[in-house]
Amino acid sequence: MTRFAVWALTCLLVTAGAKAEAQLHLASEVSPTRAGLHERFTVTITVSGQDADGAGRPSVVEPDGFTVHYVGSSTSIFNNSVMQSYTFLFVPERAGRFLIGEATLDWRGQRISAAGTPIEVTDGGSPGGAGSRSGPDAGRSTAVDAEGRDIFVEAFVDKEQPYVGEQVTLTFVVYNSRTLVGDSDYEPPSLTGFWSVPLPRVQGGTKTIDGRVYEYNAVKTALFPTTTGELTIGQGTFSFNLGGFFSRMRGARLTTDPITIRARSLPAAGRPDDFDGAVGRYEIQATADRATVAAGDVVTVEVSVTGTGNLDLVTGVVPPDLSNFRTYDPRVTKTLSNSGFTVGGVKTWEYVLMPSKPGKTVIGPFTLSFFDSETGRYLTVSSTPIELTVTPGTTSAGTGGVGSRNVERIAADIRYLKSDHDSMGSSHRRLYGSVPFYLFYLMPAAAFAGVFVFKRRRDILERDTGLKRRRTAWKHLQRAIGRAERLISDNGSSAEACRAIVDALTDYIGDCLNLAPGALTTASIEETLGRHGVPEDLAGRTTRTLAMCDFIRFSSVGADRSMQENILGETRGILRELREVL
Amino acid sequence: MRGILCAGIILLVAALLAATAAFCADDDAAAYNKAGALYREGRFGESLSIYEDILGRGIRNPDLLYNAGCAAFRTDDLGKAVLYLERARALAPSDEDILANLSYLNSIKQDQEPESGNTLLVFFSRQYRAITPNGAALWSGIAFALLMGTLTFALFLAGWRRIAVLAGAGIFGIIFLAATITLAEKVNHERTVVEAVVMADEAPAYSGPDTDNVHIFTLHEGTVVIVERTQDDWVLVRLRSGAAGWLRNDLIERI
Repeated sequence: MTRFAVWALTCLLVTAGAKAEAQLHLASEVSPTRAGLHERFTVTITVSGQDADGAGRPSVVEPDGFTVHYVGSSTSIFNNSVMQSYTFLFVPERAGRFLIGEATLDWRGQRISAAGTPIEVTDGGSPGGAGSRSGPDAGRSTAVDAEGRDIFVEAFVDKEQPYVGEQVTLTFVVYNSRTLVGDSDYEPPSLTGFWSVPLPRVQGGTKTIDGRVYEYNAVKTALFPTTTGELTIGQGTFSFNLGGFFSRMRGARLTTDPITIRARSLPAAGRPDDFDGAVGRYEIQATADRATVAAGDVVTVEVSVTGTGNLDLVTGVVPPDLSNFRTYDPRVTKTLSNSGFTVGGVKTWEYVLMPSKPGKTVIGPFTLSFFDSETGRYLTVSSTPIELTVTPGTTSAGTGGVGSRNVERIAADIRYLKSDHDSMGSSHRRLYGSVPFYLFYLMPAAAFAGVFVFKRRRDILERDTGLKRRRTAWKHLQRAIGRAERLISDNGSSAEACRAIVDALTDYIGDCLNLAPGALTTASIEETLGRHGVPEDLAGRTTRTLAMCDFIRFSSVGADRSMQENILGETRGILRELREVL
Repeated sequence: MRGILCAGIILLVAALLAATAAFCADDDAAAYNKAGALYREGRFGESLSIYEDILGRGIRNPDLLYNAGCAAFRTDDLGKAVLYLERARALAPSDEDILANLSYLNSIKQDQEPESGNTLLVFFSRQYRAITPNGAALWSGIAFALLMGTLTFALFLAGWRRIAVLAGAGIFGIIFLAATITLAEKVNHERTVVEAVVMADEAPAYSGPDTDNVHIFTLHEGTVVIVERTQDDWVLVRLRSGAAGWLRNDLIERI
């Protein structure tokens, strides 16, 4: 079992080793991919893998029209992996498109290969390189060192007659075929009349000039003429040290001559009214941070101008009609990019808008007019309109929202409709002139009058006791007579009934004549009644009735019911007559 | 038996009339709401047509007249807009929307209503115009009832209490007098002053009821005038500024 395990482990390691052998790689890299005639292409073939250092030099395919030189090799180790690099120089003898860098390596019976890279060889210098010129009239200034053409500098522009605001690229190139010692320094020229932007570092390379191979390095600067007419780019200076291991080091400097260009003014023909000096080529777009916003809240609209040109000159973005919004000054930001040695980027305006009225509304388009220097025409670009839904807000624009400024009325209109009705009736009913209207006056007046009369009568009665007794005498009499009737009908005591009749008669007469209780006796009543104008007959009947009642009260026999009723009837008759007399 | 039958028939007829009235009211409300929906869709002409149909049935409602005024304005009929809004104001003189729209229309029409420069006077004038006859009647009636009530109460009081209550009665008496005078003035104004709105784009006013007279001024659509008197097809109108002239009757519409 143990032997089997050792054998299996050994097989595994052998297999892994075989796999490692199979992982030997061959790669090809070409730089640059575009060059002028007689300029050099550097081809680097890299062998990587565990045994790369012992695999030998790969064979490169030599296409027709190229002279190939082997330069040398280098070894590097990275993460336990060996990389062996072999460098070749390909010098083209004719122009055209080619495939170079194909390589093969025979190793342990295997053929490993690397694919080539397409390149282009042009008749002149490389277009994107340091020595490129875009026009036959491009300004050029060259300075050569005193020892011949071992080192020389060159400055040139890509346009000699740009428009105002159009980019002009200034290139300063140092060519050398010797080894420079110590630090070297570039002093840029004076650029009066230009707005300048430094451009990214140019990758150096080699170039063959007049049969000599030079290393070159370049510095590019974007210039924008700010005025029309002749403008001068000053002298550019390159300072460096010459010397060697066995010779004395000495300083030197090379200076280019000034370059003059003529800046043209922008054409007047076709200039839009809203043109504000932007030169270049731009696109514009506008976006809102939300599609729905409440009235009184804010929505941010971002307007971006993207393109090439001097963005500082892009100031004329024309906003649309924003009368439905309260607006604030936009926040402007700018991001420059200068890829491809052309200045451009993005300039952004952030508009904060506060809608005032609910409903659907449309913002935009924002527009920008600029001069396209490539076509020589003015163009106007517009953003896509933005649809916005404004919902009713919870706060009025006057009291909430951004800031604390008073609301400025920006428009006037009639107020909106009244709301829907569940029923529709006329409200043209006049209150005045109607019966309820008059009752509204009559009822309080009548109530007041009634209360007034009642109060007056009550006050009079309160002040005059005799009158009060006389007014209430009949009411009291009725109560007393009622009591006598009940006594009779209940077959009660005849004495009690007669006493009630006597009390009723005497009290009534006393009330009517305002006499004190007890002042009237059966004996004195006839005389009293006579004094107050009561006829003798009535006074006599009264006295007799009272006497009869007294007799029944104080006799032991009493009186039967019919007799009592007769006395009561007589009493009623007397009282009716007395009421008329007293 | 005959009496019961008659009473039953009367009750039935009354119930039918009430039901018909209720149905018509619901019908008018539905039409009113439909006109509002058309307005909201921007179909102002159709909306106005429906509002005018309802008005043609004798309905006098301030909201209805207000909406009709809005729809007329949206159809660029300034004269009708002013007419309906003035009629709405006659029914609801303190309605903020009506007053705001009339103020707006006054600001855009060619002949603008003169307004006093005295702010206090303008304020009181507006407050006075906002009082309706019904409002004045209500104030008058309530003040009178309170006056009677306080006087009655004072009958049962003596000393300083009576004096205090009588002072209150005096205040109610003043309110009653003011409200009653206002009511009388309003009623008198309603009965004697006839206002009208110029409906034509231009209405030439002459010094007499004929075009042979001197053309003294020209009124424009939406101007409110006071009708002084009528003669044949002509009316003598007076402006709030005091100027007077004769217009053709068909150029104006009475409020």
